[in-house]
Amino acid sequence: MEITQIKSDQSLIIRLVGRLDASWSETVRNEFSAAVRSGEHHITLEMAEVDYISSAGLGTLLILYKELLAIKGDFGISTASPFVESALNLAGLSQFLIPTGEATGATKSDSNRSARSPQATYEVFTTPGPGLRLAMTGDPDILHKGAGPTRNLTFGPTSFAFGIGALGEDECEERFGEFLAVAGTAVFQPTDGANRPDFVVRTGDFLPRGCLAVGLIGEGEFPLLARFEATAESRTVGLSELATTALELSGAESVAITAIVETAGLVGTALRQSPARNPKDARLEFPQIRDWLAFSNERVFRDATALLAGVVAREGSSLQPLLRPIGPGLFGHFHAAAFPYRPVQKGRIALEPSVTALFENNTVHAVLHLLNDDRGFTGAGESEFLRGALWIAPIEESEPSPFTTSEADATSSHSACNGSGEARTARLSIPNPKSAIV
Amino acid sequence: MLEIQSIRKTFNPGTVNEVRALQGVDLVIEEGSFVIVLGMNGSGKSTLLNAVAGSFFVDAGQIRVAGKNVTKWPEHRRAKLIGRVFQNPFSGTAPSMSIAENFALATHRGRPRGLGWALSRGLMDPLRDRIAGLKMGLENRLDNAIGSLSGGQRQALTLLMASWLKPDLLLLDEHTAALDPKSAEQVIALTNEVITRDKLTTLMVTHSMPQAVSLGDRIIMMHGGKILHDLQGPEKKRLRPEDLIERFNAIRAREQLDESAADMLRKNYI
Repeated sequence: MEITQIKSDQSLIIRLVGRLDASWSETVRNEFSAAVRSGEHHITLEMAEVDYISSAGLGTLLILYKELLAIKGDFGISTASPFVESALNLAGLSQFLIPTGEATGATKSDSNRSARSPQATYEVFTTPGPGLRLAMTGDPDILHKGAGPTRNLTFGPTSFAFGIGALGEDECEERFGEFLAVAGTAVFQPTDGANRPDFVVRTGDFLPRGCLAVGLIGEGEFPLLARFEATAESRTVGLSELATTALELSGAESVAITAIVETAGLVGTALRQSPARNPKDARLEFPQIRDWLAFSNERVFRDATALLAGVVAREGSSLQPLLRPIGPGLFGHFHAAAFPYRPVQKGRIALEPSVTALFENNTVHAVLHLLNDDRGFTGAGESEFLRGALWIAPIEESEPSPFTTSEADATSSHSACNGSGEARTARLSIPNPKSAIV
Repeated sequence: MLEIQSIRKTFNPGTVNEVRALQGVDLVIEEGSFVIVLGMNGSGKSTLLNAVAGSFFVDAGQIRVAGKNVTKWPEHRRAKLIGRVFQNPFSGTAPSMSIAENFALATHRGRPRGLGWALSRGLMDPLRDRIAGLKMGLENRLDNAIGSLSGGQRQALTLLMASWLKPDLLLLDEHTAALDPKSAEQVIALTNEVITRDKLTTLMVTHSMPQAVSLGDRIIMMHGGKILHDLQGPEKKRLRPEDLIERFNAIRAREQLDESAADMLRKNYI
């Protein structure tokens, strides 16, 4: 069998010549998967010169159809040999696989505007909404001082949080690790010896509950959605460039970002032990640091799909204690959960279903604190991506020094979590409600 | 049963080539336990097996096999208790001797030889049956020189020889590493069969994660001449090959975390 790819403006044409039987269907499927991975979500099959198709071939066509349906792409057979056409008709598949002509074709975009950065292009969609309130919790010096009193939290569909935390009701502090919670899901890297990340996805009224030792917690909507794609010349785009673009698109001095991205590699680290355990000094000194942080000198999780939660700000933000340099004049803090690769649907997509879908096959590789390893030649650099979706919410600066309120909050949220409060109060509460609406 | 108490071995001590191959290894293997030894190149796996087999004497510590303190026993004396298969199919057999003659030697390992007929009927009949059980068509070639056989056939025969006397301890040192995938699969199936049937206490070194996960009841991971992980019971059962690879990556990443990386992390991590 001969397989040829012809790239057109809006779609990819794959021309098959020969017999599509059991011995070739796997190859055809792999060719397809590779095309989808490279960002092709509109694929047309030319089968005019396919003189035979078996059930193995038909099965493969159906799988491809379903794969593209899942990401709202298009898949259709444009031309078919008499044999293929009759096989599809007899099997009752032609209604799915042979497009009727009107619905499919070019991507219709309702984006409000497009944008460009040096290494990527963007389509931007806006949803008028109230934006995101955000506040710090815990003491950023946690690694030296150990974890202080923590807050039990419930993460609803509009919650946004990341930092060092854990899921569960009791003994959270035994497991404190890299944590993130967005859109009714929460995932963290436990430090109690289990090396598989644990997660909770909102199912009906079953919501993720856990504690955050230090980090940022917020509640609200993301008014901006930017779909990005690295340009063909650069192939990948770095985190700092995406962060800069997010600031520019929003026009704010600091923004919160949730992102679903197809990765070209992540650079990050993760706690190996809970900071609540063995409290002693010099945890970040060499060589003790080896027991505390897992870090590899190279990009990891290449060709995976990742969920990011983070903030980025220009210099002088009041969130500064939790921010670190991620580029020139740019400060940020990002956590990422890495999943097995799955293509991200194109165009305007909704946050919650897109995030929930990532957890569908029940596997999270790891949760990382992303870093900019700026050690020049020996450094691993920054995380890089191929394409994806950024949900952006401007942050109005929160009140300085919110740490002082954590004691009082701990009490109130504890009572809520113990079941005495109503469901409403059990939701994430913000330390200082004055802290900003956008 | 094998009991190893804080054994140490340094090769070329006091020279530039000094290698501290074993740095205090403690290990107790219960009778009938099948233990897989994993580790990167240079981690001390083979040194551990050689120390037990008696290829050299350890600098410190004690080794007991089946209750006997063999620490000071020379290799040939330990052979009475220990069966062994090497990575190289050309070790472990006498190539110019026939299959039958090799087995005759193996059945007398550690015993007085005497002047009787080596290839007695008492040996040949059970030998033919066991070799027929390999389904390699070797039962009719017992007079052929063992050197004329393929690597896979030789490893299968070596394994039979090493386990013929039901040794108190069986040592397998990457015994399928030099074989093609099909032969390796056959030899592994045979290994599992022999060990399970005779309940042999076994120490097997391998680089194959799928083998490590599917065989044995315990995994020892070595690094830098020490035992780093000891996985058994339910923990061994739920292991997947990717979990083991992850553990190896973690070891490597830990080594790579040098002072410059530590500086960078201090600056960038919260």
